[in-house]
Amino acid sequence: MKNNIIIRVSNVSKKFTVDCKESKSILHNIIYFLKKKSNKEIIALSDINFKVFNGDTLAILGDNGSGKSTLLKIISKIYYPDSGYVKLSGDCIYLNGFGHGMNPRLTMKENIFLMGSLMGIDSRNVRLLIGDIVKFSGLQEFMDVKVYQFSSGMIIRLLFSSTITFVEFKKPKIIILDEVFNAGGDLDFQKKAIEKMNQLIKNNICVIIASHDLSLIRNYANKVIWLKGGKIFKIGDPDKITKEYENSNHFIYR
Amino acid sequence: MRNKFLDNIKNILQLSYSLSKTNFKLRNEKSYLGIFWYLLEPLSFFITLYALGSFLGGDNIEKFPLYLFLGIIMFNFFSSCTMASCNIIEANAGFIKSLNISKTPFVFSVLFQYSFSHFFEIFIFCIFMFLLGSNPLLILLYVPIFLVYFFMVAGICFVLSAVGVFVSDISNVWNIFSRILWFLTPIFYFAPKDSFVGMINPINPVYYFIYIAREICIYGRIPSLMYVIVGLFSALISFSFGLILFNIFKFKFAEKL
Repeated sequence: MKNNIIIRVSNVSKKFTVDCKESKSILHNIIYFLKKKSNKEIIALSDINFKVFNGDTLAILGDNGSGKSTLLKIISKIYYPDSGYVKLSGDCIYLNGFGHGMNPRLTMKENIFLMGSLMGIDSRNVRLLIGDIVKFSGLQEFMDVKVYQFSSGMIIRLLFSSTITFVEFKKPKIIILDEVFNAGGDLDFQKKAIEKMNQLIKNNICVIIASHDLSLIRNYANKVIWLKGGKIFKIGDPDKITKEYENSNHFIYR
Repeated sequence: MRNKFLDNIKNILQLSYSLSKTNFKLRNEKSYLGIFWYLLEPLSFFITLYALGSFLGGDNIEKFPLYLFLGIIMFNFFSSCTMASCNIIEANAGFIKSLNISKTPFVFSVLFQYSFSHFFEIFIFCIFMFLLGSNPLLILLYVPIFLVYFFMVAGICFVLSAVGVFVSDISNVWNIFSRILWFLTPIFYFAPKDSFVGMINPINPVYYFIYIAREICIYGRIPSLMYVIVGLFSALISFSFGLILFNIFKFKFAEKL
């Protein structure tokens, strides 16, 4: 079981065209087409190959703009590669924050239902989970209050509690966490949130984490990929690679 | 395989319903008149055009008030859905860029939202039917007509929502186009076949549905088979083309938003 391949990333390349157009209006589109201007291209990822096995926690490391988020979005099927392919053995959830589906003009209860439906959970199951969400968030008295009246700390509590509860319910085989470790909120809530994240990582078959927090990577990951300029610069042991990354020029300047 | 397909359809419908419910709530938020705002627009149009009816030849049209009101509300459904779909993908960029979710529910949510308000307009139409001595039960026959009409409009919504991602001012262009179409569709007048509008009608899919609905629900007559076939065919072509185009471009949405 341990050696089952859960994610296979094969020869994945991705480039983005950077629009030279001033706007997306019809007129600009026509002028742009007639002038036959060539688009500027940025290579976001180039020939990426790796496999993630059952039970692996893979961390992706790299400077801003190195292609971490693009790679994670391609694995999650939010973006599509220009060449190569990604094969997943199981369903996957991508988290890059805790704000999917929240509308400040709706009440807390309405927002929980909306977030649930965006994460593919039907209202019958959201009704079953709502007690857990409210209990974890500690916002029992605010169920029918519109979210624009919440403080920022309360919003974070609501978002984190809902997202994590829905993810736990869905039990995806693959979880992708893109810079989501700073849940925020007060100290008590942060402690609870970190415990919950620990559980989530330990209980899942396969986790991919993108983070700049090297101690976090050392704690959780059993494999690290260091991306540089859209290419795999190094792949291997977390302790070794995080140390090399720490000693790279990047950190000397800090 | 079949179960997966059905689950997919179920998920799309659930999310569409949820999004349309949210939009409906937000649109009526802090509004004292609430859903009556939905009725005010077609009713005010109806009153104005009815008052102008005699100048526009309305006196020569049998059951003109029903003819006019049904035309207004059917066109209203078309223009509201298509206008709203022009920027529906851009309006939901936050979700599309951060979640791997189906994009079709965003388009369906627009259609569901306006179907709901269309239901209220139809209710008013039934009251008019009753007051003007028509049989309100004939409206039951409107259900299958509306279903086919829904798919015809859905196809156009899919095209506009996909184009809207790449062309920011599509809503302005569509607004002008739908205003022109409003005047070219025999909503508040009758267009003889040999007139300019009469010659344009065969290429106006909205006209087929309005004609069929009027014939069945107002006059209790069986519409021309040719019109029914063209109506069904236009819905099939529109929906298939719209969905195919949307599915081709949806892979680029997250990047372009």
